[in-house]
Amino acid sequence: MRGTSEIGKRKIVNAAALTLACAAAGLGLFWLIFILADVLRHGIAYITPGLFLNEAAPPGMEGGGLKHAFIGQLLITLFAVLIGIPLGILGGTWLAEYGRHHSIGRFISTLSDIMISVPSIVIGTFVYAIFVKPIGHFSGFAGALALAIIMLPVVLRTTEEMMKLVPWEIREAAFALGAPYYKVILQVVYRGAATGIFTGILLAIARIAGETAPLLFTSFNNMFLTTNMNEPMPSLTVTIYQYAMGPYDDWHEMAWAASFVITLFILGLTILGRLIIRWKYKN
Amino acid sequence: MKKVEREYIELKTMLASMCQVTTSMLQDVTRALVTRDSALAESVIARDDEVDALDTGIDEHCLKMLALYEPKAVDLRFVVTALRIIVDLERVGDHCTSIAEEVKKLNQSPPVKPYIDLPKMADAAIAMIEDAITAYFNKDVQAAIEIIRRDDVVDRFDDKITQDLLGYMNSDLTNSRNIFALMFITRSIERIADYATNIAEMIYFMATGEIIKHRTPDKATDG
Amino acid sequence: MSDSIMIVKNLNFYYQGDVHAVKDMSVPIQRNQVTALIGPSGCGKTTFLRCFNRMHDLYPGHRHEGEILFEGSNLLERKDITELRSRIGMVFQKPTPFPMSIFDNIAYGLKLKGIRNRAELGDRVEQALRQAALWEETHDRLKQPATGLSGGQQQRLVIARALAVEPDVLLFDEPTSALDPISTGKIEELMVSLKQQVTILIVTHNMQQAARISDQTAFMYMGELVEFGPTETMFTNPREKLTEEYVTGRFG
Repeated sequence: MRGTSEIGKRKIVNAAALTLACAAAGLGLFWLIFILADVLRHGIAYITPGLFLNEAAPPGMEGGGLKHAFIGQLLITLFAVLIGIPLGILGGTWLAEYGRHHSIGRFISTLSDIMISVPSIVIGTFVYAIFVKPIGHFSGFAGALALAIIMLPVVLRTTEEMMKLVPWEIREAAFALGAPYYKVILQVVYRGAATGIFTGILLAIARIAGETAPLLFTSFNNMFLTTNMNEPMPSLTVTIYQYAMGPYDDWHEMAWAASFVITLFILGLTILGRLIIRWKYKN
Repeated sequence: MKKVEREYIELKTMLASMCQVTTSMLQDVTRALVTRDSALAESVIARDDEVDALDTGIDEHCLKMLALYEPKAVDLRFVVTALRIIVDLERVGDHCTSIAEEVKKLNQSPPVKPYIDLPKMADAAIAMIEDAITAYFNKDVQAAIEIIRRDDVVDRFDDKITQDLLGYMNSDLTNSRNIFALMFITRSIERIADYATNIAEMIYFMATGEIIKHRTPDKATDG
Repeated sequence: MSDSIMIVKNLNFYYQGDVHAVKDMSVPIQRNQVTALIGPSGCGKTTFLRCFNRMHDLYPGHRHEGEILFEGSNLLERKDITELRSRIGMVFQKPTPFPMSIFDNIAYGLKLKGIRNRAELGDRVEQALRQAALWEETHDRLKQPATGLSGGQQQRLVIARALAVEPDVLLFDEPTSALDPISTGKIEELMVSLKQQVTILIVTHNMQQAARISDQTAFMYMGELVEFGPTETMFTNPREKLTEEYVTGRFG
């Protein structure tokens, strides 16, 4: 009968496609696990208390640490967050509530999406042009600004989408009770979108935690610990770059260890973000 | 309590009232006949207005219930049956009024004969109506079938009394007008019992969904 | 015979672009009664309903003429909309619990009015939940999220939320279309019992619901009021042929 040969053929094609798909997935997974395992293997050996507590030693000398880089990275990230998050949330709120009815809202949204895909080095050169060159020197502020510009569209779009997920009828119900618009946003919409926005922030931080290129021409780097944002600032990522290219073995070891720390940090944030989303939307 | 439940209770209350008025009219008119009380007969005639008012009231109430509450299944049959029952009850009322008119005329002449069977016949008919309304409220099929059977008792009374009266007429032609009056009263009570039977048939329909109006009693008990 | 708590006089409403949605409507709304608005889709009944609590103010471009008299003045011209909306509440088609606890949901309107005293809030929340026949089911979980309630419970929550501010009028916009028959029955019972405390105005596309619960019914078609009168008359012997055609299911 014609029927059985058709089914047989389809079964063969199905099996072949399934095998190919599994092979491709396996290949991707292999490299992912390989990289992670490699970083883990090399990095974990060189994690010492000294790594976190000691400042950089003069090149060639033993006993150096990455305290300056950790603190520098923290400061730059902190300032980036302070600039990027409020602007992102406010922008997302405007788009979700007031820009909804205007075509300019859609335009800005699309522009944000494009900005997310802009290479971070381009953003670095942009900040160099407007903030480093006129002032005349590198600074932590410039680095924070560059990272903030990278963060901004992520936070903005997440805020916009999460707020738009809150149904319009809920706002109407709040209006019907006599609430003014700003209270509706603050008390009702934000409460509904809070978890989503928070997760978006976590993911944005994870995104900027590993950026190197934009910091190259903005905060540059610094061998010494400093908390003055107006000076060139050390950052973990640029330091890894510097140490990995350098001639010293202990520099290489510290670079591996620092890579491991960053990878762990980003992995942790991302997993946390996903867990929160899963918990929130389980019911 | 739901709004619709209150409407059902009101319907039942009005129907119970209508039943109570008509049966008490029949009771009173029978007593008026036996005790030769024309004033009582007059009061029966006056009460027919009450019956008519209840008839109209229940009519409107049922219409309202059908329109607003869309009753289904047994509830629908309940309301539709109520609409038909009041027709028969209203006719019972009219018959009582006619009997009362005859009683007034009868009381203007000396009594024809002692009334023994007529009161019994009337009692049987009253019992049939009361039991029918009770069966309606309880949706009681067995009671309904019972009532249909009891129509035979009233019919037998009717035959016997008519025979007696015909006998009287043969022996005393001067009283024929009064005898005709009594025959009319007897026939009226027999008709009243038939109305009770109608009501019983409608109760059977309401409880089972089967229409037995045009069947004979023995066929009615199949299934 | 109750008096009118609101009187609509020659109300005309135009959407953006001069779309004439409500045409010269005049109708009295009786106090402590349930008035139903029925009519086919697009007849303007929801538009008409939303005039009462000025919901159209949220959207630009509309225009209105005529009056809705409430407490001696035209509520369409009132300055304090927040106050108006605490006197005239609204329940929508989709149950809309806020993303907060049950207690906070009910207390929301009260806090808007400036009531902060915890004891008073607690009392009024309990009273509102009892009025909405929801106290038994929720008194032991007031701090839990309102979104955990079932659809029918959520709608009763919304009703309790509206009742908490003690309004004079409650507007219902097809409140049971999203619910199952049993929840619908409970809410209908609730509306009938509530009319002793508030005046109820309900838009429904289910004319049988209007027949079951309302005292007065207004039938609208293409923005106009075709007939208004006691519900019993509307469904047993309407005056207008159009009304009869709608009620017997000949159209719509």
